[in-house]
Amino acid sequence: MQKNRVFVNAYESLSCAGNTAELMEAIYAKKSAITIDTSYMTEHKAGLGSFAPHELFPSLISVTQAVLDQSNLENFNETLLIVGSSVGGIGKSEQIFFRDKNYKNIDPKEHAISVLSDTLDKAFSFKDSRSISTACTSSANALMLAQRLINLGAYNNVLIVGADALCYTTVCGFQALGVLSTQECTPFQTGREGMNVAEGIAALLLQSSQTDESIELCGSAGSSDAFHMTNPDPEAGGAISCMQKAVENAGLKITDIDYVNAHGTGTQANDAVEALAVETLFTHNPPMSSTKAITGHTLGAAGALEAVIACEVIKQQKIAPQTALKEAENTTVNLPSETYEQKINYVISNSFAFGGNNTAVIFGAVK
Amino acid sequence: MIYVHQIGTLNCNENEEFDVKAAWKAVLPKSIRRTDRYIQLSLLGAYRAVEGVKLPQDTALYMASGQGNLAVVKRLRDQLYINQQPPKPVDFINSLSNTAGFYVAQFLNIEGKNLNVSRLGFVVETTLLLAQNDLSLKKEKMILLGGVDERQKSRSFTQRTLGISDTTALGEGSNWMLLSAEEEGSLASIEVGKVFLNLENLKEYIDSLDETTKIAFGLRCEKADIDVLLQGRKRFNVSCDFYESAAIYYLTTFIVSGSGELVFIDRYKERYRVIKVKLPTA
Repeated sequence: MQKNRVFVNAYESLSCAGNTAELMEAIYAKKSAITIDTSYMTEHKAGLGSFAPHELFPSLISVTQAVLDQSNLENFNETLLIVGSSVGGIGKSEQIFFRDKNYKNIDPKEHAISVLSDTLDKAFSFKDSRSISTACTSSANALMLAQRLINLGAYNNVLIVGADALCYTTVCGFQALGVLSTQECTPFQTGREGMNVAEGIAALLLQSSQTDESIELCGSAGSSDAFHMTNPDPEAGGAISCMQKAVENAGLKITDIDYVNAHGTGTQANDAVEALAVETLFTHNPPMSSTKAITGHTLGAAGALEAVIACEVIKQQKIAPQTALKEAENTTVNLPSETYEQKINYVISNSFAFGGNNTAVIFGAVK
Repeated sequence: MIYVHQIGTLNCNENEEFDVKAAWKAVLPKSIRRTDRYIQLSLLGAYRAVEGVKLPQDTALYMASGQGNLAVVKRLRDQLYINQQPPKPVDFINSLSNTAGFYVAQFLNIEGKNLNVSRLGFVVETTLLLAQNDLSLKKEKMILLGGVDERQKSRSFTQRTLGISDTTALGEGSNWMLLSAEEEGSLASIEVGKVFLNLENLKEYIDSLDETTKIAFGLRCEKADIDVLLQGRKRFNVSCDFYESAAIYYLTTFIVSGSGELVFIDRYKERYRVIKVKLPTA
């Protein structure tokens, strides 16, 4: 079967580091946008990534509008929308509860993951929409599904939106799990403290047609190591398997990968296993970094936000350095300390979620 | 076209109480730690589908649900807002959409792609369509696909969540199918319509069907639709109270007790989708 190729033709994002242009400046300048916060938990400090004063729902629309403005489309009427989110409308429900001190005025439909796609559908009238929620791989899985739908010819235009906002449930939940850092996170650092919960929105228009600005979504794959609910397989079987399958899906060799945009949350478990996976699979030692040191972990939005970063890294032909790294735990993997220019054809972007849910997506310069 | 190789059903109507723990104990003497009722329903339905079958390790798992694990979400909200306590770690983890999928994958020792699809309206059709695409593209060799929804204690809260009338009886279920692109040894073939239909298109579609094809209507279809569309054809009836993923129960019931060909029609917001099921001839 002849497969349609998949091109990323427009994108925009909003994170604690600002819009995409501001985000890339922060990444290349190694300037973390994390703030130390006590508003969610008065007795605990937490490093968080907030895009305040922007708010989730208006920003969702403005980021999507920005993608439409960049694109060759007049509207999204013939476009499939796939939203990846872990939190959905929980933040809105929390605001209503804290105002009213009861559940009475909380609309369950405004609480669900699908409230994001419903909001966008009302604003832009998409052909159809669906919502994927697999925790921190949500929008990476949305990208993978979009690739398959376009490959198959089911759709020519798919808009991927990854979006999650900060809320008490996630901040206090990750605190309860003991994985929140009180400071800016330090991915891959020896003795790292943990992760920064953050909020973010990223939208990417994937099309079967190519433009002068296109980046290709070349391959993707998922796996589930199902080792433990919160810990990855210590032998990195799941992470290795999904990266390997993604490279095969892209029709590439392992050595074709020029940069690894790591999941790199800053937790002990994730970073150790991910570094082991990259060390094992990519023996040509490509540069790897986690941009969560700048943005924090935007949960369900992370896959889409880091897809935007991967596209920018290819466009700018500059490797993103590892911010906040003083002493690497794994000294074999190549964690660049500074920004540098290099020929970059292919970038792999990893997303790993609780439950051993792993996804890797590969972007490439169009050939 | 995709093929169903195994099925497992668990359906409970509003006037029935289902003791999932007792049912699980009959299967395995040991409970699985840290699981709640939604996860246990998922495990039990999946187990029923593949009991005695050794699944290839790269089998993918696709779960569909209208409301997901709503009970743990409510519990989490109570801890955080009313009791003003940090969430219990186990409840926070179980509130994630892919947790049930993790437990099913771990229990069955499968390591393929693990996907959770949650939406109101056409959740089964959407998930089956993803499976159909992935099997057609040979991205997956085998997919265990299930639909799980748990009845909540508060009827009115569930009815509001699902956007259904306050007189609608609420059921629950965990219904599963093992799918592949291989016809040999299959129980049935399934073809999911790729496009939405309006009522006019749907009438034309039904007119084009063989007259022996049976028709089943999803739980969001209205009586007026049924009257217009049935046109003297044989209707395949299933006793099932409302839950969003009930479409799989309709399909599996036809596979067990039907014959010939079935077209299952579902509706959401004035749009229709169809799933065609064909049983092998004897």
